[in-house]
Amino acid sequence: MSKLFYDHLIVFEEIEAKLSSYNFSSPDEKEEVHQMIEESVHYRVMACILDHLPREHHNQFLELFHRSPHHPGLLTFLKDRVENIEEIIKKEVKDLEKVLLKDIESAKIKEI
Amino acid sequence: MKGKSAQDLKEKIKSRHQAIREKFSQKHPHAQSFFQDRRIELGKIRQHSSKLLTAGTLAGALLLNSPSPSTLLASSLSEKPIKEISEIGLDSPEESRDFLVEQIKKIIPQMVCPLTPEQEKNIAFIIEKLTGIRARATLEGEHLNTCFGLIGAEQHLPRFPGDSVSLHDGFRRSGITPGRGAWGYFVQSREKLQPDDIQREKYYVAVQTLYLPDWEKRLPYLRDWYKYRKVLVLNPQTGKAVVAVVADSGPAAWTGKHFGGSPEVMYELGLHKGPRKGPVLLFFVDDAENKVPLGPIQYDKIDLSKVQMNESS
Repeated sequence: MSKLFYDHLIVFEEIEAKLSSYNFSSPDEKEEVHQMIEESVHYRVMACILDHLPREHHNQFLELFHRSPHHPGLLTFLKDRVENIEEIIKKEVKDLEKVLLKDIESAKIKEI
Repeated sequence: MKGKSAQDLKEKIKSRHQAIREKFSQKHPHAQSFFQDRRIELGKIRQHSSKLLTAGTLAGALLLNSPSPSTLLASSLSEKPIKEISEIGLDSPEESRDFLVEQIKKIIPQMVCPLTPEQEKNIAFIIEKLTGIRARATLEGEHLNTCFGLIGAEQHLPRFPGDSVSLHDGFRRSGITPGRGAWGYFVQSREKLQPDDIQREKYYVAVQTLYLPDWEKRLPYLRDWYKYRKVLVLNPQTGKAVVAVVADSGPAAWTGKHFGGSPEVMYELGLHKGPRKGPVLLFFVDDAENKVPLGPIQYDKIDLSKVQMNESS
């Protein structure tokens, strides 16, 4: 299922494995953490796209994106205007994964 | 016993999340305003997308150069599989699985993606014809975001407070989740554990209820509706299939997967080795009388002479 045109560029398997060892106080708390990670991805990916896409195309891109966020044509739109955009997004996602892993690994040890 | 603090983790992720959001609005205020003006939260863009796709408001809304794979495939659908099934009759159970695989491969796209209503209907028909199970993509008006996605291996779920992996019948190496499933414990104590509860944990799946377009709006109803909802999961590459219940939510979208399967479910689907994930079809089971047992579909034991079809459903 691709709900967003960049879904195929995001796979955080290591984060998933690390989080599975946490004993969340409730299923809702676990979902909350998952959702914050999810939201962080969208902000970082969108910032990355806008950083590289020439300013004159921003409005058109945002308009297309908000009307049809899943459409694979959005990637074509970006590819036509930004060289190696897929690789750029992948790198951004990888960088975010590293930062999140660091956060996850640095969580305090306590009695459970 | 010592472990990492989930509370501390939550605080760290929260701080990171806030910092990322703030940086975005500082660097791209025009984009921030764009989304605000349209009352869209960028962080919840997945739910927004689900809503758009569900409502079907995309039709003709956007004219981009490359068409979506599902659009291309929809046009190549035909009634042929249904006719072929009618022609072979109902007396060849040993060939059912191979035939099912062959026919489903003709319908589904190569890559996982949401199916068209027609694809869903044809697959449901084939499954019902060859297994006798009334599989439905939409049941009582409810529909998952996709029926064709990647399933990944999950751990055992604790069935009651204090449950441990050593108390489970098999697949102990898969481990057990430290916390409860999304619908809580199956029972409140070990003494109350019944054979049905054991079966539910053995054959459970996780589905992405969180990303349903109206999940938050209809939470009380949907939470009850999905709890232990019976589903049929089918590996379209092998025809191996299992009836399971929904007992957890997830996986998160950023895992690249769309469903989760218990160790037993993954084993029955033949997806318990290697990457422990693969494409599956997941349909609700229309079983109001609760007659369909949980567990693997055994094609050789299906009495096809008793299978009744209702093409209009």
